[in-house]
Amino acid sequence: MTAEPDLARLCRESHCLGIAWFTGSPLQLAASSGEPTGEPTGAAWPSWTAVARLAPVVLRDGPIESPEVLIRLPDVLVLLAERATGVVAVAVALTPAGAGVALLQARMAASQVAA
Amino acid sequence: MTAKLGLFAMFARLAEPPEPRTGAWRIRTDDNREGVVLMEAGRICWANHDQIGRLGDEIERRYGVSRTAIEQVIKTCREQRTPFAASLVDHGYLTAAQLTSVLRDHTCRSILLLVRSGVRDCEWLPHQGNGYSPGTTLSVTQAACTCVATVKGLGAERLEASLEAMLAGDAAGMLIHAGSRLPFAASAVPMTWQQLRRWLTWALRVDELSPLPSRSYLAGRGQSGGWLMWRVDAMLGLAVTTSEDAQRRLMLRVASSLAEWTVEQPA
Repeated sequence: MTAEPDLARLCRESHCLGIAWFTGSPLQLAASSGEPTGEPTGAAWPSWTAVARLAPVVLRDGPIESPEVLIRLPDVLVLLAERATGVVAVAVALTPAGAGVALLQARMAASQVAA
Repeated sequence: MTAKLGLFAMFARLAEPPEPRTGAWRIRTDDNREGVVLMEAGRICWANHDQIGRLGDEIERRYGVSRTAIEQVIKTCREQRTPFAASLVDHGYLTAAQLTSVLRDHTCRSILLLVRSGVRDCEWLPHQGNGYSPGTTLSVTQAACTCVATVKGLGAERLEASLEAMLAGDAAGMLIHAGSRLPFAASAVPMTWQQLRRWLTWALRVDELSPLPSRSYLAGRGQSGGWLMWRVDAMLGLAVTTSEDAQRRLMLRVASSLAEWTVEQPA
């Protein structure tokens, strides 16, 4: 399990654009490292604060309760995963290798946070 | 004085006929006219209003079936107690797809006329026999969305075809116009009226919190299926599956075709 201060190392080693950890009710950003920014990657990026507002709605209130939610933006893939003590979000750049590879990368990184 | 029912309030009422849900809603309007909406097992098979043109005239105009032929089918149906619409297909005057199209259009225009006339009361009259044996039916949610698309001047059938290109029978769902916050198409896979309302509210809430860029999507996976919401320009799509296999197929289809997927957009 990775503690909050290790998000920077995890982000770097897993080649993610950003990792965030949200806790509390209402859900708030507790820690983060990195964020998709700059053109074109960050053009459609909503911010970690917006992700904190969106996460409980898509994870818990959707047509089917979903402990894992995928957000596929034009150049970024974001994985949200519910944990017992909070929510982890991982943003990964989409490459020509496709969304499948990016999803695998995001899942591997997320699995190291409070899993 | 009873309040008039708007389009959605009327559909909420139509969606809950008493069991076994086969019979007719007799609808009274402010202008002292009456209309009917016939239902078979909870699905709409036919609606009529005094002021709408006759179905036979519409079939003649659209598909060139002669008045003589239509009158002959009506006569035979009366003698043999067979359903008129399905008999047109049996006699080869219409294809099943043409029948579905003309019946749906006629039904939804009748319902819109009833609403515009000011619906005061809906009374349920259970069918006394086994049912109407319609050749084709549509769900209450499909009828509601067809009415919305018709009012907005869009082709309901084209919108449904766009939706089904993504769903392919794997999911229930709808197309929502983010600007007007209205559902414009509903899936062939049935969903209840309550599901349509709940999912619509939820999708609009998600869009409000963080609008998806065009040709992007969100997907959630649960223990028994999942959901997927996508956007192209102002149109949002929502799909809900109830099995892992269906969710996997849906994901693959949306991921591979979203870049080229086309849908009519309101002006």
